[in-house]
Amino acid sequence: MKQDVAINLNGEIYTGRVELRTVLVDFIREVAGLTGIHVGCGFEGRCGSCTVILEGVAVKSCLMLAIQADGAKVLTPEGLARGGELHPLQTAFRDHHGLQCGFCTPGFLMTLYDYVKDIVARGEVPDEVQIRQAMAGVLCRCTGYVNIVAAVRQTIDRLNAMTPAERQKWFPL
Amino acid sequence: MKSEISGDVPWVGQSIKRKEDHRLLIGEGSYVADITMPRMLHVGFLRSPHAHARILRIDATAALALPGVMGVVTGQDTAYLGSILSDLSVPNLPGETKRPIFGPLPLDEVKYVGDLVAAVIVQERQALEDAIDLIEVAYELLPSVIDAEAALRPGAPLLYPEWGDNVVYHQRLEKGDVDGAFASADLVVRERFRGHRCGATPMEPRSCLASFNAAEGLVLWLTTQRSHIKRHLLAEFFKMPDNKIRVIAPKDVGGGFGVKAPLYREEILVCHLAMRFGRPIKWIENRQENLQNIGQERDQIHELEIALTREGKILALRDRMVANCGDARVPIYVSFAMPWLGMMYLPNGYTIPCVDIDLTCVVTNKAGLTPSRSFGSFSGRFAIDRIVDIAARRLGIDPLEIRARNCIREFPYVTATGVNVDSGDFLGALAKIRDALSYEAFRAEQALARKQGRYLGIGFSLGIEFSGLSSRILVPMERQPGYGVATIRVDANGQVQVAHGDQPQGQGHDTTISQVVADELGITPDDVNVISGDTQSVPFAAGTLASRMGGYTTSAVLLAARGLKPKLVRIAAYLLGIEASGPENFVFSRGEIVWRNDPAKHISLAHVAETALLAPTELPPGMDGGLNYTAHFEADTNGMHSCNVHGVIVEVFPQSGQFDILRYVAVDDAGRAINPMVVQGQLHGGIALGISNACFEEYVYSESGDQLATSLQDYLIASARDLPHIETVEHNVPTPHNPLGAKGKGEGPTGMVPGALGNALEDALVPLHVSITEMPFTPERLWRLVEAVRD
Amino acid sequence: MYPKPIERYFAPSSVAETLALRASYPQAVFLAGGQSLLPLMKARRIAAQTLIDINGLRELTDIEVGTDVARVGALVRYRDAVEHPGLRMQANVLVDAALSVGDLQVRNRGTLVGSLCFGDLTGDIAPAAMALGAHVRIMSSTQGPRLVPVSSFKGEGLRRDEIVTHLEFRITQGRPAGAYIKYGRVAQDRAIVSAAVHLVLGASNCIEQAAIVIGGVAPGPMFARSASQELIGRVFGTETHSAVAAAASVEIVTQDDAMASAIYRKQLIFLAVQRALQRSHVTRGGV
Repeated sequence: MKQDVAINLNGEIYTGRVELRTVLVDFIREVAGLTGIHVGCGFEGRCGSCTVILEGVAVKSCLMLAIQADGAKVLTPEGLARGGELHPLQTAFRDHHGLQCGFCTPGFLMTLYDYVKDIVARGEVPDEVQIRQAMAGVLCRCTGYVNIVAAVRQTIDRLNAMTPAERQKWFPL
Repeated sequence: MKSEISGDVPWVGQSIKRKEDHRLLIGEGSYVADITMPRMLHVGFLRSPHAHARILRIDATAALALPGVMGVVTGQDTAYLGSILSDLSVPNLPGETKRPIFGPLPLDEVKYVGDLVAAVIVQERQALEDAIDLIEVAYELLPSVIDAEAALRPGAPLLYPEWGDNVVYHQRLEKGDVDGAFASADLVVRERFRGHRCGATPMEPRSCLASFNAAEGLVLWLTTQRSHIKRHLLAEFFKMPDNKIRVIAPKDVGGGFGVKAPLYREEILVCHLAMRFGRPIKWIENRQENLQNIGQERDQIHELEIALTREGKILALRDRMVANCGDARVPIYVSFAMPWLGMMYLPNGYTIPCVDIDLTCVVTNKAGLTPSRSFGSFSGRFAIDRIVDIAARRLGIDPLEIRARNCIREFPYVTATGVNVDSGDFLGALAKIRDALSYEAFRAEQALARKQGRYLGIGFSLGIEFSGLSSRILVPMERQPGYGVATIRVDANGQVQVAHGDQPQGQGHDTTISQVVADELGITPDDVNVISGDTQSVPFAAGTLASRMGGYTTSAVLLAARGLKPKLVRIAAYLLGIEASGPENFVFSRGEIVWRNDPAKHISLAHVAETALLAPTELPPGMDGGLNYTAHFEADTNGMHSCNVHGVIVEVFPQSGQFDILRYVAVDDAGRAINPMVVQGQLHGGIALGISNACFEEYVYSESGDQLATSLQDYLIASARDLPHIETVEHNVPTPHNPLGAKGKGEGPTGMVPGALGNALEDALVPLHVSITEMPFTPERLWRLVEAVRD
Repeated sequence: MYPKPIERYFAPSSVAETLALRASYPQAVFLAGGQSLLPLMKARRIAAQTLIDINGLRELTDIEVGTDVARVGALVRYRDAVEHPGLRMQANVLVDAALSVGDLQVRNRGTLVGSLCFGDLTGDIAPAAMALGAHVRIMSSTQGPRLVPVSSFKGEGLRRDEIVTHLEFRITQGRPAGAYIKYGRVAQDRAIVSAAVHLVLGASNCIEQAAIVIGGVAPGPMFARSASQELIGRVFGTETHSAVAAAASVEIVTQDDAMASAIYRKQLIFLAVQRALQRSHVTRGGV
């Protein structure tokens, strides 16, 4: 059974007629053609490479049906940069060599978008254990996570140094 | 080379940020799964639920009746294609080798749970399982054998009855008077070690997209480490000319680690189906298939003994090594190449003059072993590092001291197994690890902790890591070349393109190659475009394996850039109106070619290039146009190696068997780090894989051969929360065998982990008299060891 | 890896509408957080031909902590529960359990009630809810709401016109203390063994109510009755954790499976109960 679905992805509406069983990650990748997020597991939803921001929080887009996101606002890595400038997370990943093959990187970017937005809003300074706990839902085989932790620290520092208005610009959802 | 005149800081040696990152961070990486073609169809596979069974009948009627199902293909349909393995795809090693006969799909028998049964081709990928679920197969169950030692017993079920046994490969490697050494030893240590089945499965599963048309022939987009080799093997199999096949590894491959080196049956099938159906066929493996079928490695038993003097000098080594190779239907490696290399590297970085290693590679009803980072040596390195510690304890010698007494000290050194270790400094590395971990202070802390009922431990490992394999090894072994190769072309605006034979899967090749070229030609890394992966565009090479990039391919790149220079300076001199002279009279700096004698005389690389490409009439008389150069690099030695030491500090909680890794330090030899940040990343990743393998991951099979770890809920890849911080310390010893002195990096760090970690755990539990000889190091296993001794 | 075909999908916006739909389609499956359901659908172990998506039921997104009862709506996500100070004060065991589930992304979307509905013996919410003596509140289109103890509820126990609307537990006089400790192999893992402890303290810190529930054991979370009983009447802070933990370890029947052996589970029960009791001291709520 097919149905029309329209999703706001990074500020643009994408529409498609898809089977009800189509999961959100497949809509984003194959109907909208935004292949920044990836599918790295099977039924289990454990790898995290498909993570997107939906209604302001990080969710695994392989564990949602596309129809559930009909009319919703979703953010993917393609939508992180603003006005040609890379998001502080993206810059930090590059500065610290936080990626190698890049397959899991979208999962980290979107999960950490949620995490740092929340941490900075609370004015908290997490320790290494807390940062690693926040990252537990995205699996990486290349980096060993060490540099990603460093990238998170740099991002939090940089965001904390901004005014609330500047910070707001980086978190549209 | 930089001269004093230019004062430029060399690019080589700098941790510049990677060129690859931008596209990957903004969601514009291009992996095979991202590619679509018009009229594309999708393929999925029906796989065996049984460990060993005869296929009696396949009824696809109901599946074919489903809308959108284009076809179901079985072994009957592909039998005419013949057998896959040939001299080109079976390792040619000393010893007795057998060759499994098999085509892309089984005709009559399935040999492990997950084995291929049929291919289903559909229009919409979501419909694949709808169709697969409707295929009815009648099987006759056959007896199966899962355990390697059981498979060796008389009367065991045979996977290949025509063999008469379950041995796919056997070799006995003997050197020196082993019996004499054991007879004269002050101490003989004997122990049985078990390395479990685990491996390096990358985050991107296998993916391919094949098309066949009159214009291009067969085009295969493939997540692979070895485009040219696969093209060559496909040509042989399909009896097509090589030049009618194109294999393309896309710019982005999501991790390889050896797992994407073999040519898989599915990949051959997808090509066949593209030709059969006349439409592009796409296959994206799901994680269940991936875990069931590839990435399974290690799975070795070592009955190891060493003979030592009372001073702890190792005189000889004996090992009865049994590798569980699964069904061995893995083209190129046939699952025994890895254990073979593991055997060759068993003495590792220790000077052991006499060896007697008996390697038996056994086939069983499990998935065939596929290469995984550490390539057959993970279990053996665990064994040798552990037995050295056990010997040290019995002799009352400190573990660092026994390593200092037995490590390779003079280079080059050829191991008793024939491995040539060209350069390194173990003694220096051992000193650095001692320092980095504050060894003496730790021992004091440990003693105090023991009084308080806390169990702290420290452990070390020592190892050599190869930097590629030379042709002298690869040609006889696989009829494949070990050279590095690069073709350099300068564009009319003075930018450069480099095409090389080793496609990356995240190791930063683009960046490091750009750094090398930038130094040679006085440009910036951003001026260099690196091309790889496409057999249409890159020179023939064996592909990315055995950490060959750092030692072999970058050398070829450097030689290619240097190879251009005589022509460049001749043109420069001519256009500058000065006497022609060689490259040594010019400096390449900041895009300019500058005459040393008078720096006021300089000309841009762009100007020279423009002339050479667009205005050849303005070149020196008799000179041809164009600016291309291809260089091959072959080291004048069989083996360039790095020499590394790792150390771990743990705290164990015997009540639960859990433990924390408090510190992990790697003292690492990269020869000369082209990009230290990239090298460090390889260490982090390799060590993380080693810890995850050693502690959490296991491909578990039931006694009847059911696979129990076929999702990430059960095959436990470590997350950030499960892994410690990893520290790295440089101890680089350049190799004299390539122009930069650089050594490869990647394969080695993983194999260093189980020995260091196992040693640390046993050291922590010394008061409880526990012996660590098996992996994975699960809390339950440790707890049981403690309890067993208590009882 | 792809679900079986879905024929009908509904996204009602009220409980009444939901009940009417369920009555029309008795085989319909409810979709809330989807963190348990989607993997089962993608593994094709559940075929949801008719799906009723209840994420639009705003009336079920609240946490109410009153003077004598607390209710957690069926659409409350783990993340919401963790951030609710009132809930933490009254039911730290439940908040601890919510924190231990999966990972950040799963906690953003998954619901506590959803975890109960799957009846998964390794789920984290059931043991915590049982330690609170909680019930699920079930609404139907034909009858008034009914309460079923979590300890006897399984998702498939719903009648054709019913839906779980809340997780509900009584708030008693006295000060609560509690904790949830989970042993897993890796961070995202399900529980090999877990211990949920909920205590209510009366005058002079005397333990008036105590519940220790062990998770990760078959066929479902188990009350450690004897161990719980040992706590009653003792003064909080003076109880011997190891004795109580040992009692729990003895009384609970454990099983062998791919994750762990029965005997190792016994040891983990001992350790988990001990740690949960220790942690209860740290996190106790009330005055």
